[in-house]
Amino acid sequence: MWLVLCDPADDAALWAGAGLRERGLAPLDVIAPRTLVSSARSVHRLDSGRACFEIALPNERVLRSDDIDGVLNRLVHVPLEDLALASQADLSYAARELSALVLSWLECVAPVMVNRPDPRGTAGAWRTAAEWTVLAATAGLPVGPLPLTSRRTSEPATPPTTSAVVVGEHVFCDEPVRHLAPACGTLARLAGTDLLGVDLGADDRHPRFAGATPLPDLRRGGSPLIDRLYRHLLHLPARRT
Amino acid sequence: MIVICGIASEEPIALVTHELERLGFPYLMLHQRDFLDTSLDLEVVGTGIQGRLVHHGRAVDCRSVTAIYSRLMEWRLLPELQHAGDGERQLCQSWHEALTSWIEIAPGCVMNRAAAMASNQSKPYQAQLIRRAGFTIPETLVTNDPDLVREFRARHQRVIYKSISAVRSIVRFLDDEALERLPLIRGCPVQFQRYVPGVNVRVHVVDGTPIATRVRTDRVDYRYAHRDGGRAELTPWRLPPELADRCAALAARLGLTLAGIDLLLGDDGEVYCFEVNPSPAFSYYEAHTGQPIAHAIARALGRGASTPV
Repeated sequence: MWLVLCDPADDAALWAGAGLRERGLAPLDVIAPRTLVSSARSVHRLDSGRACFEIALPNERVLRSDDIDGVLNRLVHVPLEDLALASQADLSYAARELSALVLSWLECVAPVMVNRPDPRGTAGAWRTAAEWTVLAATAGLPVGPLPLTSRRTSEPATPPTTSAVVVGEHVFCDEPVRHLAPACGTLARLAGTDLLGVDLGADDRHPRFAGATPLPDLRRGGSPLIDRLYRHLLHLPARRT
Repeated sequence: MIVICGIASEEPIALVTHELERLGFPYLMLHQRDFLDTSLDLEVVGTGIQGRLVHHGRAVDCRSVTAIYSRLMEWRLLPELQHAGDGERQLCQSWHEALTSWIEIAPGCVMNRAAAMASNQSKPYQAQLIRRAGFTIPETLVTNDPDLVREFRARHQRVIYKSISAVRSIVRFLDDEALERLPLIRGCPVQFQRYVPGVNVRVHVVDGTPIATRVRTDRVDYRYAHRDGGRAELTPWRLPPELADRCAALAARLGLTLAGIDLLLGDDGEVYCFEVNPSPAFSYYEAHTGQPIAHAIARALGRGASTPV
């Protein structure tokens, strides 16, 4: 089975899920993080041979890691609305425990997941502006100076005017920044993400790196992006056991 | 120049700074509680970083910094913030944000970067990485189903439970008393593990060099043995070369210049790995064995660049 893991308000993910279903990924389920963490029965097993999970879903269905062919992973937070706990301390503890559990669940199916989970972000690592800037410069993107001071919060120096979306080896972007596509692809590889949004801004009419996100608005690439994402999901490496 | 970040009096930090002084390595202590008297004025330029740190009027060019040892505590818990106003709180936050951002991109030897430390936020997640590095991990069950736990206990006879996340918990046996509370796991899943009898070994890997301590105990969690009259005897131990290499490789694979690896030499002949601590409180082991862990850390910081493994 195929999955789109996303918040119900993530319109870009829902749009992508519909597009992938149209292209033939079946069965494809859209599952909200709340459904996972409020499951009445979840089982996660690890030993020296393998790691797997089973999560009971509504309507008596069961999500088994072994049955998953591929995942579009847009999971950004672990919701706690359904936890009935006595105190703020308990809630805080449960939040960390559930986040840790979800990360481990996702890691079981990481090889067939776009993006792979990371401890710094379940749908790909979140980085500071300084980290992204250094990574973007390493990838060959033009970057402006970025202040990093203890006196104020650092902001990206250049406001974004356009953005590129990387899907695997392919980069979707506007014509004026087409020459930056290879560097955007390199940035995604350096960041360890199959899907990456790269914001670009214009300073003195020269485009510059202005930020990046592992949760791009997939709609920017339109139907060709879904075609590419479909092929990318179909050709993910075989599951690691 | 070496930069130390954290609370100056905290034991591991105090041991490291003492060794740095003894070895004659210059260092700057960025004491979190002194955030009002220290400023960072840095700028990321391309792949590099420039600017200076000013501490009590003393300026240090960040390009002269060759190594960082970081044991930052949660800034929101600093005593200085208990009665602080919004402005001071905001300053404390931006001070820590700038510092942690810099630590992530600073060149040289860093013990440790947050990116590398993050795997420890989830024990079963990290266990999957440990397994891929060639270590045996004990059979583990994380569930909110009490029946499955009873089944797991029936199969393995002796079972322990502990936190899933990095929140520190005392490892305990799933005894009859705990079984009575088992229905509570329906509210939040819990991690259970087959109890493995054997001898605990803590391996501190310092820039590729393992230093091992053997722990003989009559309790399931030796860290708390003395609290209830138990014993924990710590002695230096020489790792077999193959195991030493595997520990160094595991730390390197996780991106950790300093790591505390928790092993167990099982009575069944297997070497199990429970966890890799990315910010080990090595002072406990050093105090009991006299092993020169702080010295090794200071020497590695003095060398500057990390040794590739």
